[in-house]
This record gives sequence, C-alpha cells and structure tokens, in this order.
Amino acid sequence: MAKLIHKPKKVLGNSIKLKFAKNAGHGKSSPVADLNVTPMVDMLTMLVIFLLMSFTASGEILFVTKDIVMPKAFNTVPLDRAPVIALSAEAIAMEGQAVMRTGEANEKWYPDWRLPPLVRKLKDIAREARELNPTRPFDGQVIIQSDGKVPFSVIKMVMTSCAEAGFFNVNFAVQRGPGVGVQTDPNAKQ
Amino acid sequence: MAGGGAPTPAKGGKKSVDFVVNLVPTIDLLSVLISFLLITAVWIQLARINTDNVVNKATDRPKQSQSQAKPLKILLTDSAVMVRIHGSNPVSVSMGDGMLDRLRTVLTEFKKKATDDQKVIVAAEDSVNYLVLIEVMDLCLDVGLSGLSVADPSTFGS
Repeated sequence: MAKLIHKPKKVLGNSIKLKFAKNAGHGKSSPVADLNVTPMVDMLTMLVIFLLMSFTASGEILFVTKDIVMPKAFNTVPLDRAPVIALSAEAIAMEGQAVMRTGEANEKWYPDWRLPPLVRKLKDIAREARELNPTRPFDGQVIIQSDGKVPFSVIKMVMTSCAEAGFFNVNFAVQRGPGVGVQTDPNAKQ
Repeated sequence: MAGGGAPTPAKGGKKSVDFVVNLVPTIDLLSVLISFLLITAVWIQLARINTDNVVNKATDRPKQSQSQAKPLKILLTDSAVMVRIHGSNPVSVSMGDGMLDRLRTVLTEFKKKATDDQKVIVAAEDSVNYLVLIEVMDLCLDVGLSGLSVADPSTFGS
C-alpha cells in the first residue's frame, strides 16, 4: 500500500506551551500580555516614603568604623561640624589620621595628661580656623568619637590635650537610640 | 494597564468610562527617587552630648560666669556611683543590676530641689569605661539636669 505523502503543516510554535504564542498569526488573541503594575507602584511609593522620612540633609560628619562601637544615648542634640578625635582600643586619630597608639596614652609617659602629638594637631586646626574666619570668635568645639570600652584615663588625657589647645567645648559622639538610662531593660545594654 | 492616557473606545461606538493612566513616567520617577534616597541614606543616626571641659589639669581656661548654685558632683568608680552636693555627705549607689534605676531615684530627688541652671560635674576613676560615663550623663539629661561638665576625680572632694 502506498503511503500517502502529506503536505507538511505549519509546525512553528507547536512545541511552545504558551497559548498566545501558539495562536500567533491566527488572529485569535493578542501576543501582548498585560502586566499588573499596581503592586509595584504601591511598593515603590512605600519605599520612597520610608526613605524620605529617614533622609537627612546634614551630610556625614562622622565616619563609623568597625573598631569604634559608640554607646547609645537618648537625650542628645544633632551633630555640628567640628574637629573629630576618634578613640579606639588601638589608636587615637584626629580627622581620620592616626596620631598615636591608645596604649601610649598613660600617666606614666605623660604625667601632665597632655598628649603632645594630639596637642600639636589640635593647635594647627585651631590656628587654621582662626585664620580662615578672623572676624568670628573661635568656638573651641571638638567632637570625641570613642569606643564604649575606652577607659576614662584616656578620655581625660584627650580632654586635657583639647583644653591645652583651646578646645573647651567637648562633645561626646553617641549613637542616637533608646539609651540604657531611659530604658530600664538590662537586655538593652550593648 | 499602563496604556495611553485617553479613554478607551468601547464597542458600539459608545465612549467608555474607563480611563487608563500611563504609569510609566510615575514608575520612572519613583525608581530615580529610590535610587537617590538609597545612595544618600544614613542608616546610623549619630548625635552628641555636649559637655564643658573642666578636667583639673587643664589650664588657661577663659573665665566664665559662674552659677550661684553649688554644683552636683557625681563620681563614678568601679564599685559605686557617689553623688554629693557641696558640703553634704555623699550618697552611694552601688554598681550592678538596677544601678541606673537607683541613681535615677537619687537624681530625681535632687532635681526637685535644684534650680534650672543647676551645674552637674561628672568625674570618673581611670578604669571606668566611656560607656558608663555616657549612661550616667544620659540619665542626668533625662532627669532634667542639663549643665554637664566632665572632670577628674580630684574635684569630687573639693
């Protein structure tokens, strides 16, 4: 029996499971799929609102580093631009530049509590500030950004050095948070 | 969805009441806004506690007007927090659990009798951590004692 030879049919799209693609060219349905963008717009709107609420125009004054974990406090004021002294367990840095090792700041080496490398840096900054603004009185503001575990012996030496250079207005940088003095839950401690 | 801005014509020549809003510019604007805000976001809120630098060995300090009220002095040691006003016996609050609650009670009692410009001098022993100093200063501010200074322990007895 002779086999009938059939004329090949259109095979394009037969393996494709999507209905709209299979039927393409037959005029039955459009190949354009609708995408519901309403949830996406909702999500984007919520994100924008959240980010706008947490937006601050004051810019970065302090750089948070891994080796300085600042304590939290609640009763605080916003940061102002001022020279920053960073104290970690390893080093004392002034405006991002290491000045000396923290271990070197002890009364045995500096019995008058003044740290000469830091005093020199601070005096340079004070002189520059006075030269840049000769009409404005020098406010003597300085920010101490210290790790929570740094002992007071180092803090007092840094403060004495600040006073020596004319910086009498000391600001302690903290993370704004609930603070343990306000929240009585002991688990809230760092 | 997200098609043209004109009303879609319905079958039969009647004008449809459905109005399709073009959401593409909205999505574009929101995406740009989110990118900008994400890049400029500050995730850690930093602030400061302002103090007066009166560490004892600091000299050449400019003269300032002194408050008539006697300052409240707080000394932080490893074992306790001592609170005293000039001439009176110190009140001791031992360190440990609930120290801040007990200290709050003492400071609140003092605040009731204090004036608005009451000065507070916080001193600490060498081994006391910066964290404890900030906790006590935050507590003072929370109670309403705002004129904070930091000093060395030798000022506590004077």
